[in-house]
Amino acid sequence: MADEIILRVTRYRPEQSPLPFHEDFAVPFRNDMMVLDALAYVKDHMDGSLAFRWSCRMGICGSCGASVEGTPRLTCSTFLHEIRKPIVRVGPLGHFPVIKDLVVDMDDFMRKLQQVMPWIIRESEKPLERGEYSQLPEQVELYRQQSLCINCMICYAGCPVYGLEPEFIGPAALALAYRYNVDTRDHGSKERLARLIGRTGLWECTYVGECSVVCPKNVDPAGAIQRLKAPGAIQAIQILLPPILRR
Amino acid sequence: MPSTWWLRNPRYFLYMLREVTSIFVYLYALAFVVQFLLLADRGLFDAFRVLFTSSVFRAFTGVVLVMAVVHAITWWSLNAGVFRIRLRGRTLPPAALFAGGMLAWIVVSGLVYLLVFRGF
Amino acid sequence: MERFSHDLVIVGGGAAGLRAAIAAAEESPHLDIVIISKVYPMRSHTVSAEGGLAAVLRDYDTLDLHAFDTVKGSDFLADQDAVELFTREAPKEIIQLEHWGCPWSRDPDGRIAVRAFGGMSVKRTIFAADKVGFHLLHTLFQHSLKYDNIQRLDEWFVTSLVREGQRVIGATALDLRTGTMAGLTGKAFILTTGGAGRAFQFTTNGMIKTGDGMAMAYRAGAPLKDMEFVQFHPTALPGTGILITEASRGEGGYLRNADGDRFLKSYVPGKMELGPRDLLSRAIMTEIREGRGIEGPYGPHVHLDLTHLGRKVLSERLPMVTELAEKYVGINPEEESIPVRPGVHYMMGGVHTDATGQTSLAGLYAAGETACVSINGANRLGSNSLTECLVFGARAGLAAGRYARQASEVELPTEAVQAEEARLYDDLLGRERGGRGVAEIREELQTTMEDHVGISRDAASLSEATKVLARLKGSFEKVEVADKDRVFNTELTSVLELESMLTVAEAIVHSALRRTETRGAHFRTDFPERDDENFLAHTVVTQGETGPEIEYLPVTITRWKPEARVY
Repeated sequence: MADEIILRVTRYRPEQSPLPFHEDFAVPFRNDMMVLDALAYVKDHMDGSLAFRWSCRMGICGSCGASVEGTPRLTCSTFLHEIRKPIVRVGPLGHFPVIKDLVVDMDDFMRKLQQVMPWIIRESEKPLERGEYSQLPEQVELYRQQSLCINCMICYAGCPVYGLEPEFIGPAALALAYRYNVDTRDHGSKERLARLIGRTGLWECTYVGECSVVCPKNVDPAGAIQRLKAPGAIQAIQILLPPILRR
Repeated sequence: MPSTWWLRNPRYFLYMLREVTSIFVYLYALAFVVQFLLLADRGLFDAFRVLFTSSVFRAFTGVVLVMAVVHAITWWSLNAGVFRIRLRGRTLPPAALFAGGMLAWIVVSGLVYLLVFRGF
Repeated sequence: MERFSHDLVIVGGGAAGLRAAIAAAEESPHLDIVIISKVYPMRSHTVSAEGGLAAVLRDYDTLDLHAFDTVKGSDFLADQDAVELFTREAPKEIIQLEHWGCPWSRDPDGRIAVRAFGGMSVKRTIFAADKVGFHLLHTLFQHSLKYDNIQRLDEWFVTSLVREGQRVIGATALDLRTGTMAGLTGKAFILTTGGAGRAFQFTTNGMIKTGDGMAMAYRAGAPLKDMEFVQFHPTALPGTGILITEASRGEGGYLRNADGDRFLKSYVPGKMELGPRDLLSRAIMTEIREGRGIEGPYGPHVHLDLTHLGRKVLSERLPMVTELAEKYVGINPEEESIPVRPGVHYMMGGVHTDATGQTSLAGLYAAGETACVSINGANRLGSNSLTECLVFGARAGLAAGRYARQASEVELPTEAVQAEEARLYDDLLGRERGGRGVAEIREELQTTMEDHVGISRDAASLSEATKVLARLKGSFEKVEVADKDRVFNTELTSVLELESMLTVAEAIVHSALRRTETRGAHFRTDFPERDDENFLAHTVVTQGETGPEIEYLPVTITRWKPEARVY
């Protein structure tokens, strides 16, 4: 490959121009270079005003999601050489309002995380002195996959339903609800499901499945949402029944 | 989002295709129900029989079959990962569920065929 | 100018900050708490911790043994009363996190599992595969969402602390989204902003770890302690500095040199790969210096051999190591050894506090890596730091919360915010044409620290570093800020971060220069022996008129008299 690559960045600087624009940066290319390394190179050596979030550079903090060649990805885990193009297009994650350059507004996402009550709900607490709640390895396995979400919001950028209906609770938050609902220590699944069976919850998902494809941590939100639909449907029907018939 | 969003990536396109296949299945079911209703009047049924045995309807049936197969395969490949069925302390792998699902679909189709055309 | 007022202001949203917030919120539902951080809580560097956290949960183990291991690991510089308190409260914190949903790995019988770790006599490191920090952080963050009295200011950069006499009463902060300055009045403050690994070139730390809290406290007049003790983690990936967890050795991995030898038999024969980090890092550098390293595109390294562990251990207990090796080095650890070399990992030093997190200023507390209690002394044992975040985070949360409840009302003077506005807007953003760029100064700082204040130091290298730092501070006065925008100006925040790093670096170098002995991670080639006669003491550094001023405080020794540290 050439020893230089063009990074075509979709930029937005509200104080300079009301509209987004493209800017090309010629960046020296190394074979082990991630998209994030190229962005950092631009910031350090070419244009300090380029704004993007990053921290851990090892795919665990979830800061650096961006649209790379139209696909939402973690820029710290995407090799430039994977893209096999002399010009690499990078832009902000789709479906979110842009604050500046690659920095998107996360308020909506943060609200939705809180909305699904992502904490252990107990009928009664066991005193700490009496030790842990026992959990067999296979019981941990029930929720392990969905507990691996790093909140990078890449699934939201991939989900066309969220793009069309911003009220949709969305993949990561629903996967998190699932994670707690199947945790054997939790007693809050009814309370949580009640928040998911409304207009903006489970039924909005039409199972496009893109969230699970683009997820960098293999969380499979799509699968988790489908698995919530059966108990969700049962609970939705129970609400319609007279109290005496409810379980 | 533009109304052409589903052209943006091949997976969105496949999703739309899967959704579209169900329209064909729906249309076929509609035709099937019409046939049942027509059965009430033998004369009327015979009049329409020409239509249902026409090459155009046969071609439509062929298309429906293809769509149904596409729908079944994509449905099972998507949902095989959703179900968690435990057998002898182990969770079944999605591939096994997919194969099982497809097999079940073929067996049921075969039984229906036997029932309708061989009458047991 | 915006103004906020809260009872308790927690600066930093990692493990220590979140644990502090929850502790304070649980004790008093009416306490008005805010977590203010330059990043969203889930991005905090706690997330990158991999291997585990230590606590005594098993019958074969004792609190005394955990305490002794920690004290010996610290090269006898830890305060033993604090260590004993730490080991006593650690198990409760592990159980508490379990009750909040943390997915700890389990034994087949359903109990919390434990693994071996460096410098620990027995298996006592609790883990969740090798994504311990990640799970710990997300459990704490998600649990914190439950409390109505914990608010957050995400992506706000605290630029300074404001004092009234000897009490901290407020802070100035920059809202990154809008670029506006705000004044934050608080009855009590807790600093939980982590360490400053990014002051060095080759580090396992994320880019946000720039020592902001330490620098902020130091500039406000709170002394820093034991800053010369900088931990090098033995196994980081050459090039990126990405951490390969010590748990890979805890699970049985080997370190090998170019000849394929497990060279640690000549350094720590009793512990081998489970020796403490200071000795292992030094051993690796010795191997490399003596020509037994392996040459690579990013310089010489040694090999971490996991090939004998088998697929099951790798996939169940070390999935992240497997993922990182495959992704960033392109090798399958089942078949090939991973190239590793030591990288800056952790600051044993920090803001001088007591065991409640209280600093030398009233109303100001610190916890986690930002603080120095000290339980880590001259060398921290692997898997003690996350536990420290929990134990001392909770303690600081309680102490600061109680202080805030009984403290008198305060009001942040408008002038303090105006002065900070003038510094950021007029001086930094307003300057027409600056000097050197922020990246250029930062790079020189990082290479200087790497070359002169690294694993081994001597008077000459440290004096050289003081000279370069003085020059860099001069350059910083005229640093160029090309981006004049207010909205999300990350060049401006880079400048503020560079200022923090320069401040912390200066404290490190001056503390290191004065300590003419070798202890733990502080290895002076010109003074290779430990000197208990003169230096069984904590270095306390205060910002003086002309530069850092250094004093020494005695180490608290309760039960374990200093002895030769042999593994």
